[in-house]
Amino acid sequence: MASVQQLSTKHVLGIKYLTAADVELILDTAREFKDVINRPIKKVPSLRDITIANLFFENSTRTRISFELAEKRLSADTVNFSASSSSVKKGETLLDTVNNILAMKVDMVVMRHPAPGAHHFLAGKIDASIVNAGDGTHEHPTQALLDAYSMRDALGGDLRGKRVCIFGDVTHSRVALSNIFCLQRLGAKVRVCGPPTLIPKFIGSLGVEVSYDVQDSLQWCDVANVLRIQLERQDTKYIPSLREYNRHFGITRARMDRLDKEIVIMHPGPINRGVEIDTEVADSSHSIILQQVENGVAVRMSVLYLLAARRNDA
Amino acid sequence: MLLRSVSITDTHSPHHGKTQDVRIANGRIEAIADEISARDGEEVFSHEGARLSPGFVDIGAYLGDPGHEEREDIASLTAAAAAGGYVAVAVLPTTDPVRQSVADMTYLASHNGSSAVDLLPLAALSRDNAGKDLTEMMELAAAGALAFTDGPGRSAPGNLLKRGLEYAKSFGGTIIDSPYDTDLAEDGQVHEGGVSVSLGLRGIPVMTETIPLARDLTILSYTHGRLLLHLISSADSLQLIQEYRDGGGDRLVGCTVSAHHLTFTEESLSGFDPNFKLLPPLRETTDREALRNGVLEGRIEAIVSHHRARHGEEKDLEFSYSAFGARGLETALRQLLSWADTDEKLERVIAALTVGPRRLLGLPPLSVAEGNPAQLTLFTTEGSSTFTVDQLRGKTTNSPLLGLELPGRILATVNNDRLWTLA
Repeated sequence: MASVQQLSTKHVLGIKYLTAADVELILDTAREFKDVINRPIKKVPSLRDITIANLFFENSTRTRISFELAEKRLSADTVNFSASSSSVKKGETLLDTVNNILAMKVDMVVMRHPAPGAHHFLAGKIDASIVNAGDGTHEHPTQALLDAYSMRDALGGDLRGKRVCIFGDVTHSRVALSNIFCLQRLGAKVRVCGPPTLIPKFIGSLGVEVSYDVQDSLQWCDVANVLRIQLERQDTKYIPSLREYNRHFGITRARMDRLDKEIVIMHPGPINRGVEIDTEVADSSHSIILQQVENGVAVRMSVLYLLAARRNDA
Repeated sequence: MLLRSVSITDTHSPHHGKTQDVRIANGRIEAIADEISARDGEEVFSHEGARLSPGFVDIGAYLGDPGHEEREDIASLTAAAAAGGYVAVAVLPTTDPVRQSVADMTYLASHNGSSAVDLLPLAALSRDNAGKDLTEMMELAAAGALAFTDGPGRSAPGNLLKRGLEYAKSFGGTIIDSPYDTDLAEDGQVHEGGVSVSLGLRGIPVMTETIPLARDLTILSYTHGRLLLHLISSADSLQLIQEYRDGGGDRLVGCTVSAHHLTFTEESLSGFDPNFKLLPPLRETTDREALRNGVLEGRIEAIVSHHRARHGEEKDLEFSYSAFGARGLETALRQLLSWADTDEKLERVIAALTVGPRRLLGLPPLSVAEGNPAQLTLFTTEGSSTFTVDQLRGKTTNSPLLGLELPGRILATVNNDRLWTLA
């Protein structure tokens, strides 16, 4: 799996900091890894001499397991650290924790942290390559990459000119930002749709369309990426109730039935069934939610592999 | 002492624009002439391209003494101010405990008279800065307090501001308010706009400033007190002030802007560098241009350093956890020179560092003229160099200018009958 191409960056801090060529390279490499993980022997020795620390300063199940699996499939050595966000309030704790782990000669850090830009802070302090597994309401680059990968699969390859609408809580979502940057690099058109209190006032400056009309947006799009209502990230109420949200902004069976076209339904998980999306829609044939999960492992293998390759050549 | 061949930059001086020799004796400007011969043993200052202006005066620097000496004590603050060419700094009363007694005034004044920089006291508007009961304003004014404020970071509550403006009329006192609505700002981190969206950081809308500012001006019209609006950050704010003045309002003493807001915009935040995390936040290019024009047209009377030392444990953190504030005393002039690149602009900028702040604080004007007390700044606009950490003079390193190429430099100051040269 030798690749002559390289990433333009030592870290993956966000899609914002990747070039279109970087994104293409990651997705192309992920395709090869997807073949690997569907073979009877799912493991390759690519990262045999690499040690990766998974630092989760915020609760995560899916992303953490996906990264761990990707690391194991690549034969990396891994160490895990988890802390609830309440016990990590100050940066010295972050830096102290990371320095402790780096003193054990770690090559790469996969980190989730509640503070936007925490990975930038770290990148200025340590030598290891850093992969952002989510930083507050900023970015979640590997989620956007696996989403793009899954959309390509579902739509037959090229995303140029395709219409993707991101539904729901954009204000509190790192997935939305990373998706916007990623899809724009791949030539797709992006719209965001949700209640105005959950759409940042200046989101239009990123070059996306804004709509508050769910039915119209479903009809407009080829792919509906439905975001989780981030109740845990809302310290004030942005919507009156979940019931009202579902009735007026939820992706419901009735709204899907009114469409005169087929669209792809995605969700980064975990789903609030009956809130942002109805069970019938989430489990329908339109949904590629489980494919997203499978593709997540391949995309994360690709990111780790390419960063390690760049490290080795440096 | 004799200042040899200095170009006088002071539009209020009869010698403005001329290169002259200037003699200082007994703390006053004794003579200004084309050529003055040095007396035996007289100290002579001479530097190619040196300019001479009235001494710089700052309004609203944060002092950590008492309470937070680990950030900035009197020695470190005055050293930083001297390095920036200042001869006097009006320091905020937001110390711990807050500056609100005659003894506090005396403590501050006890350091004056023999160093490069004099400290001018601002006193608390409300007791303990709690926003409720007025301090003993008349006593404090008699003890030297130049103005009253509860400090930037939040507006004075409406009723407190109203009572303060009314009460201070009895002795001609000035109230300083920095309009900022903490409720609307929520937990905002940076200016609300394209950059805040792109960084996933909660934004601070311009209306957090304009709404309380409009309220302040309404209360001012009602009370006919004396108000100084400190740290204006947006074009809209300037527009509101203009409308107040155009409508015949004459009770606004003036307004200030920070050198940082004249230098940087929200774009500087794209790398999550906490040294650019300021309150009010750095705003958009159009705001910066409006603020620059406000200075050049004399609608903003004073440029301030907005100096706020923060040590590493409160600043060198993930962006959201990092405290607001940046150093500014050492660099104010040099960062202003980076855009004030003509003689005309330089004259306006120097006026906003000297004449303007003196007037806002009610201090007598001190132009470069024979007989006047000698509080002077010597600088050059020539040359440039990279600003590095060893040029900082305080206890902390939270300067957004580090690593930037800055024009000119401060050469020396004259204050308390001494020439204070900078290495």
